[in-house]
Amino acid sequence: MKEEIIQTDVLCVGGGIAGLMAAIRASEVGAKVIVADKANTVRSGSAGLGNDHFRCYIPEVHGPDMKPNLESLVRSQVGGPMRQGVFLRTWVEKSFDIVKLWESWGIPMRYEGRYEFAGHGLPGRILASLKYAGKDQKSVLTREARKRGVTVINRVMMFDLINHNGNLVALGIDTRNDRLLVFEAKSVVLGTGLCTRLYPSPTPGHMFNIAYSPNNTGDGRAMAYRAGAALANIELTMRWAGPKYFARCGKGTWIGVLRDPEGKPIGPFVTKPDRKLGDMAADIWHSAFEDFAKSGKGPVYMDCSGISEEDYQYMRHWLEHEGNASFLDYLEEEKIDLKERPVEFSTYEMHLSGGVYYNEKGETSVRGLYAAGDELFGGISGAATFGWIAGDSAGSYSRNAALPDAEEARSHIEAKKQEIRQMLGRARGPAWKEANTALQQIMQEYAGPIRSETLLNAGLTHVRRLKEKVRTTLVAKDRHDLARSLEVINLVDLAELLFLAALERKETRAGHVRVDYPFTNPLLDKLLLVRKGDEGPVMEWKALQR
Amino acid sequence: MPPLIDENMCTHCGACVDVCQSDVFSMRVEDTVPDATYADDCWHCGACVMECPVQAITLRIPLPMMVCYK
Repeated sequence: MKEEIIQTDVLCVGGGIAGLMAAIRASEVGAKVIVADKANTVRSGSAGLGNDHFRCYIPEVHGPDMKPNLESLVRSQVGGPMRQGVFLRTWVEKSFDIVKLWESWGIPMRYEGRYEFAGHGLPGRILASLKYAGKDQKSVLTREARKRGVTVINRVMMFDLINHNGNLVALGIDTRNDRLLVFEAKSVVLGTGLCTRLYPSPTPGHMFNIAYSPNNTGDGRAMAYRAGAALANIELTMRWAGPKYFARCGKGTWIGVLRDPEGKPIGPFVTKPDRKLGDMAADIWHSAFEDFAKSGKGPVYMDCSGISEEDYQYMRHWLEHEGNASFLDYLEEEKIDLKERPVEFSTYEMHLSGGVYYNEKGETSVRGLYAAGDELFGGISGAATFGWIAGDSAGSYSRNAALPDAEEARSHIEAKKQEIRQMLGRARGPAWKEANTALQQIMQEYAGPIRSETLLNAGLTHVRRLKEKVRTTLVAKDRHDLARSLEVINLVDLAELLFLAALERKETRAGHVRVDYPFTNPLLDKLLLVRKGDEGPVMEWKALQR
Repeated sequence: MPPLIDENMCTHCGACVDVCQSDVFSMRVEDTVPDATYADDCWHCGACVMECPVQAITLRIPLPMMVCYK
């Protein structure tokens, strides 16, 4: 195996919105920066095909008081409070600066010359989602990064982070060629997005039919944990909703009314298509689609009938920017006219809303290690804002930090190389997809919609057995398979932590339904942190300050 | 399944191989039509369709992803 040692001030792991913003800012403050992306930063990740709404506070639109905007942000946190008050205030205060930056780089942040807020709206409340044309946002950010001297290395999957006496050495494999990259970085910014593929997709046999990028497998979370950083609320999950069977994000972009089969709106917010509001019913009533099905009153439809031609074109325009171009093409091919035909919506699979704990400066609990974006769910605006902030912090930190020496971590590196050689060299054994399917089956049955102490304990045993099998028997027939296998290793590690944290959180909260503790305990309005200890995972409750 | 490349239109530029986030394509032999080697990993996002400079790629959405309408 060819090994290449690369030195840098700042290594951005993942070239999504957070990673690219971090790279741009770190470079501006004088750091030498490398972005390593599993795919290609131009189209990778959940934001690769675009987005159309950016949560922000614009004083000229919202007025001088940012409190209503802050309140709306607090309410939008999945699973209740996940962030410190100072983090949320920083987000709201900084968001408009980021909007202006993006605009100056050529991402269209205005509609017909004005800042346009629409979607995810409640009647009488402020609108916090700025409509923007983000279809090509990542090629713009990649260009801006390169313009500032950032080196972008595509097709490298970062899979391990070694914290050797406080020095960070990061390992990545080339997903197409025989090459191991060893990064000696003064600081590292994690920005690998959400963690999907832990739970089965709604479509049997189609693991990649999910709303968020199926290539985001929690690599940053697993790496952070192994390097000693704390993960927060890893047991909390969320579920998105959208067109049934054709899993896509963007329900806030639809202009229609969610109705039952008789045509009755399921929510109290709108009775006809409303361009400004959309229909918040499913944002607030997360289990609506399932509740209707279970009670025999389903299915639930997104009904755009009655929409004006102008609003219809407006919706199509934004759906295209929200990464739904292939969905629109499909509707056209199948001659499904949304003006005439209500389409069924459903809830999709579970995925993690918790992740790497990072503060308002992008700092994790390990010195020199930063994180941003959906390493702890925050959507596009969170990724852009805290990517920028984390880049600023990492760049500044690197000025006085020493370069680590990979040779000090040599035994660890050799052990990893040996694991890789074994995966590539085994004659027989399970391939990554078999292992991933086995994991999804356990997650769904033992840590899925129903959780209890007995189920979680049994599931933990199963996951540990699977982990051992994955570590010792996985077979990768080529580089593509090797990257997928390393993803599964990360997923299994996170699954074990999820079971442990789910046992510890003895209450029901959002997607974490403990049938043996059926209510939300206000005393547990806290972060549950899990980190690596000498004897295994260690848990700690951390209070949240408003 | 997923991405279909029109062999008569494809110029072998490799744009699809470059951008696909699921690493679906490979060009096994230089200057040939890319192969959808890992078609099962397709997200049906349409990046290849968007980035193909000669519009040689179409997505075939598999039947289990059918949109259910009234």
